[in-house]
Amino acid sequence: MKIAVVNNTVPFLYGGAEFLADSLCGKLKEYGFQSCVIKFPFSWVPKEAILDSIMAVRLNQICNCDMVIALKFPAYYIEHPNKKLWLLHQFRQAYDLHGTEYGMFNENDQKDMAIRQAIIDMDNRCLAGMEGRIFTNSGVVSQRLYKYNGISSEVLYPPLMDESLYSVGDTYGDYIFYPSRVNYSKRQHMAVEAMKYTRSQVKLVLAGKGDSPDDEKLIFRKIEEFGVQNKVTYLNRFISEQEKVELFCGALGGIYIPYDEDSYGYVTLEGFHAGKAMISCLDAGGTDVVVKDGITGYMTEPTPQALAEAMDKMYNDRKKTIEMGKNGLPLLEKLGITWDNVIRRLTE
Amino acid sequence: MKIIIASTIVPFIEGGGTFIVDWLAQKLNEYGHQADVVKLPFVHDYRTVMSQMLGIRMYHLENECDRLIAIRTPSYLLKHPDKYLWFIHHYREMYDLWGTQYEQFPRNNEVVAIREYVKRADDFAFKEAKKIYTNSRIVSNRLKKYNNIIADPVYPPVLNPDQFYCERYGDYIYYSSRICGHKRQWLAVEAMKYVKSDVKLIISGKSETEQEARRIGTIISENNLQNKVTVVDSWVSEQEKADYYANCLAAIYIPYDEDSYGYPSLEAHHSQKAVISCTDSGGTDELIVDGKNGFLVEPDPKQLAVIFDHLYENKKMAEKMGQNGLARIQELNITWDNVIRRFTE
Amino acid sequence: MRVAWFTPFGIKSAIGRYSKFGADALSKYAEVDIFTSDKGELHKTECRLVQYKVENVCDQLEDYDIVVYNMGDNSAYHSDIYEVMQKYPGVLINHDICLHNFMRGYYLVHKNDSMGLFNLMRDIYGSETADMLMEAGMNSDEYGQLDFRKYSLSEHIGDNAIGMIVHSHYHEDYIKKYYRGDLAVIALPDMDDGLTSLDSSISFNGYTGKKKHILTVGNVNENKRIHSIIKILGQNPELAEYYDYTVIGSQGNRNYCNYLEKLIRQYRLERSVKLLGFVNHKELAYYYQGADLISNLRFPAYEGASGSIVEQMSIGKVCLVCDTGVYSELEDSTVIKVDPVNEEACLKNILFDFMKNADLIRKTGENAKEYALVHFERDLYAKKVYQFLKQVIFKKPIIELADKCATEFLNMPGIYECSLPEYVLQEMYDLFN
Repeated sequence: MKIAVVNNTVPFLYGGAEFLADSLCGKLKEYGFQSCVIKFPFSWVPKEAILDSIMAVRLNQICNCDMVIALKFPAYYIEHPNKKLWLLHQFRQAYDLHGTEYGMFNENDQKDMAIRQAIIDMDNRCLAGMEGRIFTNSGVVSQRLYKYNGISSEVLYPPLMDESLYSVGDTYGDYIFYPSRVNYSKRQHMAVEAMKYTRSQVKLVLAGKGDSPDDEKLIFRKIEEFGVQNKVTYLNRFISEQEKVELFCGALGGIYIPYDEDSYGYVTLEGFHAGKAMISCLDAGGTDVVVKDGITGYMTEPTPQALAEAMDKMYNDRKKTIEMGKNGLPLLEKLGITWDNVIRRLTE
Repeated sequence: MKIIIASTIVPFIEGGGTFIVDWLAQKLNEYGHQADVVKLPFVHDYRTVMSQMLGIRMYHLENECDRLIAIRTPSYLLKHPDKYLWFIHHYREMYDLWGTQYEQFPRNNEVVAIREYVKRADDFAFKEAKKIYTNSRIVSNRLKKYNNIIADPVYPPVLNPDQFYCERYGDYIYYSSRICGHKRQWLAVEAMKYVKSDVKLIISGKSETEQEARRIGTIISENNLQNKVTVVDSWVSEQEKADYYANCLAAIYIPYDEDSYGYPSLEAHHSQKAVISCTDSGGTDELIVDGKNGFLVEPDPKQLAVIFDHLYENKKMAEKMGQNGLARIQELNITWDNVIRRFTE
Repeated sequence: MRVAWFTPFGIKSAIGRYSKFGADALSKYAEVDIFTSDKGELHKTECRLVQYKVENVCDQLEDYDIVVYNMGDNSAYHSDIYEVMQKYPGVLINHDICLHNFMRGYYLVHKNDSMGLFNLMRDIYGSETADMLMEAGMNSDEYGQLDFRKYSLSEHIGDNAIGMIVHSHYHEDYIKKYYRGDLAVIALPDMDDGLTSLDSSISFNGYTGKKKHILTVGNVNENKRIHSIIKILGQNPELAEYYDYTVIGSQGNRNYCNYLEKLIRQYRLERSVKLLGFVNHKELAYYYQGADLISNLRFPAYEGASGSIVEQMSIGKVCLVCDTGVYSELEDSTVIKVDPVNEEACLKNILFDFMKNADLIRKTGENAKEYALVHFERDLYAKKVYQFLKQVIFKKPIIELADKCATEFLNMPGIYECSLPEYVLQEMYDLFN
């Protein structure tokens, strides 16, 4: 079967959605399908360009594909008799971001409102007939879709791309590992501050480039400020997959504490695939889907003290930590966060 | 310079039209530019061609790059103030194939109208372009004939000339190409019936249909050519291909009426081997000068056989012609230096 | 070019007769198939005849380059055509300005859907007027008083048409207000074939004596101004000596007929004015041939075109017309125009003029024949229709594309506040015009 994964493109940009599209395409091929990624250019500056992009997609045609899996607005408007959605997100500026500092439509501007309404109308019309064929990548996206457009969808969590690189072993070291690009919302600085309060021998290893040099400088400053140079290692560079796997392999556990993200993030999956328990915070957003307090890790208040307590617990109750780490994969299995499940649901 | 290369594709169909896009992007990046690719799906269906063309006009890439290079029709409809075209072919059923057996449109007046509109849209886009290049003289001529546009060819090179080398001038003629009726491997095999020397023929490439593979197989078995002809009916790796070229006596490329000389001809020359082609092969005559870097023969097995033998008996000549081939590439500027320069100046 | 030509085609249908001549003439330039759902005796034609059913005819239409629909103010003849037209866009040949009778018949008789008729009238004229019209429909006197130019019910007839043909500029001016697509004004073709061939087996006792014969043909109704002619003859004995007046046509309108009879008795014109009722076609030919002056007075005039005028002018007859509606478009030297505001005085002058100058009749007749030869020539008609169809076919892909865009816009109703529709239109114009 020939399956096209349909996405947007903004030239020269390669981000999470592009990575997911390529991953899905690669996995489909692994599972015996023929797959390719088709990308439609999307512009939103000036605002009218949004409507132009919508029209363009509606007027375009795809042939020679048995099925189309679309990921984002407005690529998911492409006409095809056998279309499914794996929705990463709608055009949030028209929905939950409207009226906030991240919005782009001015309530007082008639044209702005007309454009916003057009997006909402289009979503309502085009997605309405597709119930049963709409998947999303997180509960938050499904909730939004239901809240704003009254359309129900099924959550299909994106699994880890390179599952085979990871394996559950028996090595549990003394450090908690936080691999992620470094910026303020990922809150590595709070993990560093937590180390001020830890009482056990537990250590913290951060790995990742800062979004900007200032982000990296902030971490180093905090390490100095809190005097935790002995306990914290920060590898401020891009690390390869191989390095990441090795570092996870030798870790005691992992930690992922971003502020209010839609999804649980790949880091949590990587941790579980390496058999390590994960620490996260109650306000991290989507991590609570996979980080179950006491079962696959610890969910704490978003304070350095609470984090420190969790880290100490991990170090001191080693047996429990290992047990929780080994609970990770079975939970993912149960939640369907596997490519077996995803490919099956998308292609059946 | 920030450059976007735009083209149209049919999902799951790869070929000369898609390689040129990816290779150009790769080379532009190698030469220090920032290049990205936009590949839009396009269906050649007369019922929707106009709406698709209109759709393409609605995309906005004007602010995304300094220059837009549009390749396959009708990606050149994309709007951009600094648009260059590397024009490889029209929607041919509406142009030079109109009224021939290759065009399958219903015979009604609406299609005539649509054809007119497609041409108008093309003309409009051509006027918008800052520069138009083609990939062969044949395509340039068509552009002049139908759209009154004068455009020079910029010849597409192979991606990695360095992967090809010359080992020796062996005893076989080599035909590298996907195996199908259009490429006429069967003709080369037929020629082997008439050779008098010990020259051999090696064909490599995936056959497109069972029918074609069987056809060739039958010619071989019916004429006892098993010792003379080897068919490698599968996808062959770049290394293997280079090795075949490196050790062959000469190469052969004899499609029917193609626009361009074909990558195999270039590959052969990079390996310093002469290329045998036919007088009705189309664009190969742009590259091959009969008697200098190859031969242009009537599409007749007996005449092809004469050439095979001639080369076999005159290895020194084969070598000289092969070297001429390499020089010819430089002569025609079939180099990435040239391509990059033309598209980024 | 393959044309599917939808029309009533029974021999009683005037539009059927039109189609017989029109389609035959057109078939010199295109392949024309006549689609009819009429049973019974049909006109003869060289074109292929196709009997169709509304439910499944659309499949057949895919094979044609273009479909032509003939619409007129008669629901018995045109209901099927109207329904196919809604399903499959084509070129509309619009024969009547007023389609009130058609719409009434279509909804009340054909579909048995009086709500549908009401809704149609409400959508065009508003509920108050719709109520009034429905009420009036119940009462034939009141109904007869209505000015149907105001309530033509033909405002939306062209909604699904990719092109429209009308037969006069008068009609064009009217429909242009509602129909924005391609519109062509093409004069009726000459449909003469019976009037010149007189059947010698008939003994004709029609006209009497050496008088000049005035003739009126058609359903006897007030708008034919028969009473005005009678009055003039009555008030001017000289004229009654010189002329006689024959009125042929159905006398269903008893009120009016009684009135005419009263006038005849009043002016003692029993020997000069005859109301003959219905006359068969072969005899009718004699009346036409023998007439000196044919009265085609119509006021008010609702026609989009007059087929009778065409026939009469083609045989060189002098026609009396009201200077209104489609008749105003005829050249002054080819017909006699009567000012409807000053009708009786005008008529009197005309009849006296002709009496004094018999040559005038002859000259006008000649002019009429010359004019008809040029303007109503069948091949000219066919050429014009063919050119128009070609133009429409050429426009078809553009219209389809515009429709496709419009369908997309429907998904975003508020879109018309943005510049997207103009932008799309501009792009289409750039690319394809």
